[in-house]
Amino acid sequence: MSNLSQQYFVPTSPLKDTSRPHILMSPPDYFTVEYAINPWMTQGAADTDLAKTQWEALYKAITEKAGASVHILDPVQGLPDLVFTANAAFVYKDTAIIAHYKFAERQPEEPFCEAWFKKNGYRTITMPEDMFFEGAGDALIWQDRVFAGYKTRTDILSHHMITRETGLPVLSMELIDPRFYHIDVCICPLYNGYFIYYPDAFDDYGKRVIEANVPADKLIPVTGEEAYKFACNAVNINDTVIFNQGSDRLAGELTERGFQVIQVDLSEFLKAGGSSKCLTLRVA
Amino acid sequence: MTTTAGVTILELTGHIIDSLTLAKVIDKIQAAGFDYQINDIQIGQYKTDPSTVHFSLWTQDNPEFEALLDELRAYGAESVSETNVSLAPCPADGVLPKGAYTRKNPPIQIQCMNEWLSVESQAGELAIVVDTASKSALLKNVQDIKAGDSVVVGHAGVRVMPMLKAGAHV
Repeated sequence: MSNLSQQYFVPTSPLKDTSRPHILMSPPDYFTVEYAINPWMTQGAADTDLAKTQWEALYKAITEKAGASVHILDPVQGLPDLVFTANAAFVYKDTAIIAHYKFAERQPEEPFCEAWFKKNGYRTITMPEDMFFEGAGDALIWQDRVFAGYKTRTDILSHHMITRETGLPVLSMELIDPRFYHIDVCICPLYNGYFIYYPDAFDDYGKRVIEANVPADKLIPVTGEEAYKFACNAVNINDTVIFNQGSDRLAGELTERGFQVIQVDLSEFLKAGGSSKCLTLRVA
Repeated sequence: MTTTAGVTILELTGHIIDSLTLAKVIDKIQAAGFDYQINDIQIGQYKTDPSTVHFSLWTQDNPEFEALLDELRAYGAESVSETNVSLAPCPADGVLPKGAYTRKNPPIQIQCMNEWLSVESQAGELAIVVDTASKSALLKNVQDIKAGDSVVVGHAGVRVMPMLKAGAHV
């Protein structure tokens, strides 16, 4: 099985150098926890300087250890969550479906994200005013289909736009636990068809959909303790998996299956309800 | 919600079979104690094809029924649109009014030499030009749009049919 880069981005990405994966990140210059739009944001203020150090460690792991190119979305004062680029858009080949955030606090991010994709040659699609969609935070490609979350942040009707604009079938998954408010905090499709997931984030319908689509020998359930440490919110670049520290059991299981696992302390971002995957967006 | 002679007609579309969304919606209706009838169902032929179902609920004037409709909306069960589209004139040749509804051709693949190939479209960005006098509508490339052409703005009143069907157009 080829890796995701070969299947979904090369050679139709507008980014010219397709010899390595491309990731979009935004430095946490203005990152704070100013408001509470998810249950994680009630733990108190984040330390911006410590967040910068942690973000740098993630950046280095992605560029130096996983070998990806990182593009920078310039930070904007007053938009603390712009750092979570995973939510900016859903990207497939040369198409970027731009997020339309449910909460007013994040909606001002939308034009900055759209401008980046336009500037870099992507075909951009925007949602109607009354339809919410939170990018790759709620839509993850596995093989030839998309697992997409809905109800907490993203409207199920927005999933039609994914199919319409990309031709990919979408498996709509209801998210039932407000702490797992995006699908990228409760599943993570991996290289070679593996699939990390937290079963309790889904109802019986969702669990059945996952089990019907992903072969049992590729399914890797995580424990509640691991899920609360955002183990599912992992960055996967070929055989490298990067997630927040503290999930040694999962790291061991992934290592046994041939992955190189890197754990990075991302404690400050967890206070805002995000971790390594939320801080990145695969754009090519 | 569309109501006809005491019947509320809802549409559910997408990959509703594989996602078990249709099963979930029916279970919700039954669990709430209401009756329904499937009017028609169009099941996608291929894995990439969405499916569409229309079903009727017997309208009741009580809070429980309204609560059910609200709940079903969250699962994508929408009323059949009765909203007319909004139209606006193009200010100049090749220039669309603000908020114009545009799209590109849907992705089409062909099987050639036992391999699925993506068909690259050169049609570019398309807008819907409406002639109210003749009650006709035409997809036109933006560069072919003329000043004064009446084009659809916004998404209201636009229904996108299931794609990738033989003989289907944009």
